[in-house]
Amino acid sequence: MRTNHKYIKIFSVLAIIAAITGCNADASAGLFRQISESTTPVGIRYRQILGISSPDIYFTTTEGIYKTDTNTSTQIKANTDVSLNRAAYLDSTNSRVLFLINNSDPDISNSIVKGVSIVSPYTKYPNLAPTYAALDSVTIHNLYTNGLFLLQGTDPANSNAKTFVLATYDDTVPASPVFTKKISFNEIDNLLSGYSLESVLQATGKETVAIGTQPVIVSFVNEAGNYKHFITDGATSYTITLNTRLANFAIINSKLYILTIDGKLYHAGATPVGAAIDLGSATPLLDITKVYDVNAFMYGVYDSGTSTNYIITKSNSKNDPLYVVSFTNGATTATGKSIRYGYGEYLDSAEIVSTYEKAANDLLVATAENGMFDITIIPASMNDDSTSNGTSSVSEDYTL
Amino acid sequence: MKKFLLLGLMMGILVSSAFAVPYYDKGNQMFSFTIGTSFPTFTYFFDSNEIRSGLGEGNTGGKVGGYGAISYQVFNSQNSAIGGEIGYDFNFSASNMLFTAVPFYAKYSLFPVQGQVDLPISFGLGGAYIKYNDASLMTLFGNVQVGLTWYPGDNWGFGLTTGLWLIPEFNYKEELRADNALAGFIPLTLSITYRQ
Repeated sequence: MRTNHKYIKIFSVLAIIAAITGCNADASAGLFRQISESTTPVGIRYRQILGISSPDIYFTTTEGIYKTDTNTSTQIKANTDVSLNRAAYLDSTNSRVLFLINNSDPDISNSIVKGVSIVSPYTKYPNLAPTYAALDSVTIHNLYTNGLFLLQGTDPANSNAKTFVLATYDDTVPASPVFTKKISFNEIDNLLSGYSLESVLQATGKETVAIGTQPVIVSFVNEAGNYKHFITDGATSYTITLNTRLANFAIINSKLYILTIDGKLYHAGATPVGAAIDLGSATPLLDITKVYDVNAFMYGVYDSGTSTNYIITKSNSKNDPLYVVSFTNGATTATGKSIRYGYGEYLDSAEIVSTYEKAANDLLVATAENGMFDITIIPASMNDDSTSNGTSSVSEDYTL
Repeated sequence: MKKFLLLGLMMGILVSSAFAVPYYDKGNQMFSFTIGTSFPTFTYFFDSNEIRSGLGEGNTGGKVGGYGAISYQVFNSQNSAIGGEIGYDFNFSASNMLFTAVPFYAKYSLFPVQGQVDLPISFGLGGAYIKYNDASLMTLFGNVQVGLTWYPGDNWGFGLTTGLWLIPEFNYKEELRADNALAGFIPLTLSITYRQ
C-alpha cells in the first residue's frame, strides 16, 4: 500500500510538471526569441513596390504614392479618407501611376480607376471609366503591379456565365478608355461553377514583370473549401490540380515549384508549362511545417556550380527568420534551414509586404513597419547562416 | 562601499529580527492588492549560450510593462507565512507587439521585521501562461522578492516590493529547441495589504 502511494505521488508530481510546461505548438519561433529579435518600427508602412522608372523607384505606403531617387522623396499622391489607393501600377510608358480606390458608396463593390502623372506637378487624372464590352455587369476587383486589372462580369455570349478577366488598361482613344483582355476564366469553360476568385499569385521579386514574361497563378475556391488553380502567361492557361490553398510559386532553372500555405513544397514540372499539372497525389519535396500567407515571400536561387536549387521563404510570422529549402536537380526530397545572418539579418523580425528584383539575386524588400532593405545573395554560400551568404542593407539604406 | 551598506542592512535585519517581539501569530492572514511595473532584465538562450540584457531593440526586445496581482497568505508560524498569488503582466516589444504573462504560484514569506513595518522576503514557485504573437505556452514561474510594508494602523498597510522573476521556456518541437530560454524580469510594485 505504501508503495502504491509512493507511485501515486510520483505520478502526480510528473503530471503537474507536464501540465505546466510546454508546448508552444503553433509558434513559428520561440517566444522569447521573437521578443528579443523585435525591432522598432521606422515609421514608414510600405504596401507595394511599383517599380523603377529611372532615376526613381515608386512605391505605395499607407500614406500614399511616393517616388524617391534615394536622396529626395516626393509624395505624388496623398491618401485621404475618400481617396485611399488600394492597389497601383507604374505605367512608365505613359509616365503615370494608375491606381484603384474604393467607390464612395460602400454598397458598390466596384473600384474606381484613377491616375496621377509621375511628372511634376503630379497632376491627378479625373476618374477614369474604362469599359469592357465583352461582359455585362463588369466590376473591377483588383489591380496588380504588372499592370493587370482583375474584372468580373457575366458573359452574354456564354449563357451569362460568371467570368473573371485579367486585362490591361488601354486609353489609346483618351475619351473612350477600354480594358483589353489578356486571359479569362469562365465558370462554364473552366468548370468553375460555384467558385470565387481566391488569389492571383505573383512570383517574389517579379511582381512588376509583364505576364507574358512572368506567369501568374490564379486560384479559385468554392464554399466547400475546394480549390482550383490555373497557371497562365496571359495567352494560355493550364490547370494545376492540388486541392489546397497556395502560398506562392517560384521558377528556378526552368522548373516550377509550388508552396502551399501549410508549408508543403512541390516540384511541378518544367516551364514554360505546356500541359495540365496534376499534383493531387504528388509527394512534396519537403513539408516545412510552417504556415505561409498567400503571396508569401518565396524567392528562387540556382547555384550552377553545384546544380543546387534554393528557395528562400518567409512564414506568416513576422518574427520568424528566413527559411531556405535546398535540393539538387532531380532530387525528390529537400532540406531546410533558418537564415538569421547575412542577407537574412534584418528580415527575421519583419513582415515582408513587397519585393522588387533589381537583378538576379539582388532584391529590394519592403516591409510593413521596418522599412525597405536591399539584399544581395551569393548563390554558392547562400545556405550558410553567416555573413558569407550575402549582404543586407540596414533599413532604408537601399540603392537603385 | 556597497558591500558595507549591504552588510549593514543584513546585520540590521538580523539584529531587529533577533530582538523583536513577534507581531504575528500562527493563523494571522494577509490579503494584498499589487500594482506596478515590470522591467525585462535578461533573456538567456541555452542553446547558443547567449545572454541579452536590458530594455528594447537589440537587447531583450521588451519595454517597461505593467503588473497587477492579488495574493493571500496565512501565517504558519510567528515568522513565516504561506499562500499564493495570481497576477497579470504585460510588456510591449520593440515592435510594439504585446507580451502577456499570467503567473500563478505558491508563495512562502519570511518576516524578519514585523509590526508597524514589515519586511517580507518571499519565494514563489508555480506556473505562468505566457503569450506573444503566435507563441503561447504554459510554463514554470519562480521568483524571489523583498518588500517593505508600512501599517499606519492595525490592519491596513502600504508596501513597496521588488525582486526577480524567472520564466523558462522549454520547447519540445525540434525546430524550436534552439530557442529554449530563461527570461528574467524585475518587478517594482506598490501594494495595499489588509492583515488580521
